[in-house]
Amino acid sequence: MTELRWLERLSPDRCLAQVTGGVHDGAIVVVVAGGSRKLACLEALYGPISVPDPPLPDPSLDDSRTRAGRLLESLLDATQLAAWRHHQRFWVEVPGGIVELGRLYFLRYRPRLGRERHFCVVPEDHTTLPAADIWTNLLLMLRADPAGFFEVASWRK
Amino acid sequence: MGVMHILDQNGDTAVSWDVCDAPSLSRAEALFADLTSRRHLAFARAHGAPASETVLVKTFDPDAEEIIWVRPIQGG
Repeated sequence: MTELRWLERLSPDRCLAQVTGGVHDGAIVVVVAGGSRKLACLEALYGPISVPDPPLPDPSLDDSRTRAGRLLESLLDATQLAAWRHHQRFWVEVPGGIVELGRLYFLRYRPRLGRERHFCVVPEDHTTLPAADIWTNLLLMLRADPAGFFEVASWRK
Repeated sequence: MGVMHILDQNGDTAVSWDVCDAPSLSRAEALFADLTSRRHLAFARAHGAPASETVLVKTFDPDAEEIIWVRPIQGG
């Protein structure tokens, strides 16, 4: 039987869940909690789904995200700030090109010459940080030592 | 009055000090030494200044307005 394992509350009515069992075992999906149409669609795809109650919002989690977001935004220039608020990503100038921050494990390096390349860099023990803190961390490190930043990167083929 | 922001699961933990308050200054200096020994990196800035105006610092400056501590980075 296909089931959903709740991973994280994304907003008051959206949750991240992992599919367990069935042909899509392991898939990560966003579920609109209490949205009957959404659940009906999921049931059509996966068959009857046993849906536990979504976790209650964790106020301390909201606080940490707010704090992290505030710190990150204080470090961004006007263009970066507008981009961040629009789609949670922003570009950083580095010698030879620009780097986009905002997609975990998938950073984009767009050189002035040559084709775009993709890579991954994360702070140590990054899973303990709110997302905005990860970008604060990478933003400051990238600006201070771009060569060192690229040196530790895992580049995608 | 200066403040350090240490990135953590709470967003950040803020630790402030005052050059006229010796205990707070000692605590800040000790924390700076501890985080440095754990390979964290400190960026100083004037209050609210953008990333382009931050400076990587290796020693504690009691006159710094704001210090942001980040973690070492690695490939993912």
